[in-house]
Amino acid sequence: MEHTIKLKVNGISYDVRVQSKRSLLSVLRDDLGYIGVKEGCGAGECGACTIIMDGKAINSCMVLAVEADGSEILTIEGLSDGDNLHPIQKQFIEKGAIQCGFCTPGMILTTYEFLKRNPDPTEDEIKVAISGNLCRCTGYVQIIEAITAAAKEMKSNKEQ
Amino acid sequence: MKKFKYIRPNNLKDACSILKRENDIKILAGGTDLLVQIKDRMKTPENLLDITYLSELRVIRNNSNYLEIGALSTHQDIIDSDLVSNNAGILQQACIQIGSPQIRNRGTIGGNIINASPAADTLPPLFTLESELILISESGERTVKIKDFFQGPGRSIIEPNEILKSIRFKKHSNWLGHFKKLASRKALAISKLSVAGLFLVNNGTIDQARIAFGAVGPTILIGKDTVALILNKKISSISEKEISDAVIKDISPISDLRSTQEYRKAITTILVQRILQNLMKA
Repeated sequence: MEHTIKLKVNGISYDVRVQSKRSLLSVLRDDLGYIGVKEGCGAGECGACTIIMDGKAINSCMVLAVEADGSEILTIEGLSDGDNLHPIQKQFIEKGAIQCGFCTPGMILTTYEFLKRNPDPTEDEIKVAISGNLCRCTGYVQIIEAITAAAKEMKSNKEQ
Repeated sequence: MKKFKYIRPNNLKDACSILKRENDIKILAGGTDLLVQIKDRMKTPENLLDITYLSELRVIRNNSNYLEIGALSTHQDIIDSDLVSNNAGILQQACIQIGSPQIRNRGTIGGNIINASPAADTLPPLFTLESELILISESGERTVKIKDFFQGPGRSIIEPNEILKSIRFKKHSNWLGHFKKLASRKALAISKLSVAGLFLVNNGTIDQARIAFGAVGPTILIGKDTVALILNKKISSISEKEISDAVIKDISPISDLRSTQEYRKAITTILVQRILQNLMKA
């Protein structure tokens, strides 16, 4: 069974024809070309497919595309301001928090939602926040450093 | 994934009539379990009724003596609710340990209940709160006590034409609640076992107690012997051996892919001891 759904991805509106069984992840990647969204486990355990849907970080492998009808989506492709990287992206590069890069889009988007809710987090709070995102290069130390530095930078940007 | 028809109702009334009309239909309420089961072909429904967006079921309400939680409240909604933290903190302790932030943003308490896993983390706290479940169908509503609801792993008395509308329990603002679970890691791991305990303590004596165990039986088990042991006693006067004997009478764990019977018995006892130690500190 096919449905026509409306999605707004990184500010761009789309009408897409999708089968009811297709995941939001596959439609974002294969139909719309947002390949920053990664498929890891396909069962909600690795967080590589994390996107922001209507303001919340979710696993896009566990949402049907039809369920997302009418929603606003942010993927890693929409995070920077033109050529200016978002502070979280900048700090991930700065602190060496990217190795193979597969977990990075999900890790950064999870962080983006988390820092909105908690702009001044402790290290323990950061660990809980990224507990749904696996990094198999095990660069967690650098990732936590990057998030701490991004939080600081975002706070001082705000205060200026 | 097998093909299915996706149906999104406009409101609860619509949902009830669709449920009555269609055969072979599953309700999608968050989907963090169901979509994985459909993907793995463990479940292959012809029709999928998506109620995730029915906002009328996503309300947490103060009802004089009761708190009523709409079945489509997400785990994160419950964590963020002051009403829940003031009146049923033990439920928050469980929700905060479920899955991951992404799962907590999407998964619902109603989904967790209806999935009827003996390892579901919201269930032991809901048992200690003596919750009631409000079920709705086209022909009306009925209220069922949570202790009478489950029949076995994945099985409950809900009828195919019914939807879980809300969960209701008395406010427990003066009670001390503790939920503890053990899993392979802190996040994204199904509980090997869990314990919820809710108490009224007066000068170190336990005046009232309710204990429930998860993942150590075919459904959630109530700690009758353990409660009988500790009631009206000074916490400091109860020995570890007594606790162990009572807990082992209360539970009936099996060995499976997540843990063994022996380990579950040993660790359940230890978690109960730790909860009682925490009570002494309070």
